[in-house]
Amino acid sequence: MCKFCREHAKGHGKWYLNPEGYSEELFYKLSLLDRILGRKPKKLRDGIKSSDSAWYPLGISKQLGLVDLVSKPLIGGLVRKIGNHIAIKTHSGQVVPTEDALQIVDLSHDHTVYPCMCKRLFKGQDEYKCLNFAPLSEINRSVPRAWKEKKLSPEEAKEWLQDFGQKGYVHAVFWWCDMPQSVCICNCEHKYCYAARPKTWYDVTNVYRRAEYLVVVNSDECISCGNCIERCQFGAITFGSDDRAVVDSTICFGCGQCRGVCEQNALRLVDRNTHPIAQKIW
Amino acid sequence: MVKFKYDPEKCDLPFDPKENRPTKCLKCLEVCPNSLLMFIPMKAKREDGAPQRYKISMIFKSYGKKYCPDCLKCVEVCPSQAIKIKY
Repeated sequence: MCKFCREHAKGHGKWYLNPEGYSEELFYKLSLLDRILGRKPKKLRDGIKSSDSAWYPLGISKQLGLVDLVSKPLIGGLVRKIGNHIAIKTHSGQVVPTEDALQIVDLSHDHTVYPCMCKRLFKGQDEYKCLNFAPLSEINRSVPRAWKEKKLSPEEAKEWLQDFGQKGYVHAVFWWCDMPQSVCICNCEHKYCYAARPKTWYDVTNVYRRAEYLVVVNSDECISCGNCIERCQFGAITFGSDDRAVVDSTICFGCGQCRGVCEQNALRLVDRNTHPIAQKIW
Repeated sequence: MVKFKYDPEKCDLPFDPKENRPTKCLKCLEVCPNSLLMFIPMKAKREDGAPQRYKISMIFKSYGKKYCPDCLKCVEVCPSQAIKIKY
């Protein structure tokens, strides 16, 4: 169990299954200073400010410049520590398999789908695959410069998620402005993801956490077709010496998308906490 | 070591108010296999706060050099020769 679940699950198993994280009360809570100055809550102010990135992504490019400091020799370790600390307080996520993503849809309301920010910035294309829910949908609607939305019913949202799963996109639930406030489910492709690359390239772990699960292969059933190797975005699956698929437990993110292409159903998800090596890697 | 050089005077990326982003060209972003290129706004702003023009920049500069596969596709695809890669 990762430290977020220990702190924020409160008897619901996982932090993202805690209904508290979907309440608007927590989001619009006023601090004492806000009350004295008579201003809007901090999360709302941040939301309106960050909607600028629809046309003004300078903030994001500056953040990416700061991430780059991690690779510098002397200050690198310190920058990584600070980055990990800031990531918990701002906007970061954890990978979830499709089953858990569907449960999140049940817990949340007011579903809308937006074009993926990362694909827009790094590929110059708009693809609708960022599933937002209350209260973020409402903020985006209130700011005219924000993205064009598509409104979905909960059933439609589930269909969209299953579609994304078939395409091999990795679901990740993102919190925003401190835990456990969940605001969206991203459906990421690692090659242009703005959250996953600081994690895999620079080891800023809190930006994009691994799932609470891990994939294992039943090698008796594997027929060496290689579909799962093609599907895995992180390069965790390879052929072993006996030509059967092998999962590297230090790389696997536990997204479970490889199961969709296995015709033999040889792959299954297990709890990460029961695995001797992977339980320490998040 | 790879050095990414970009000439904003040769490349024109105006703001498209319909899509809230530049829509012209952006061929270099599409071809980059590791998605190391990104458009960022230039200083001059429109009245409503949106930028007038964008430029292309290489992100993750230190590691970008490591992850840049030296394929030179961005140089080849650019119609106005605005991108240069130096070693």
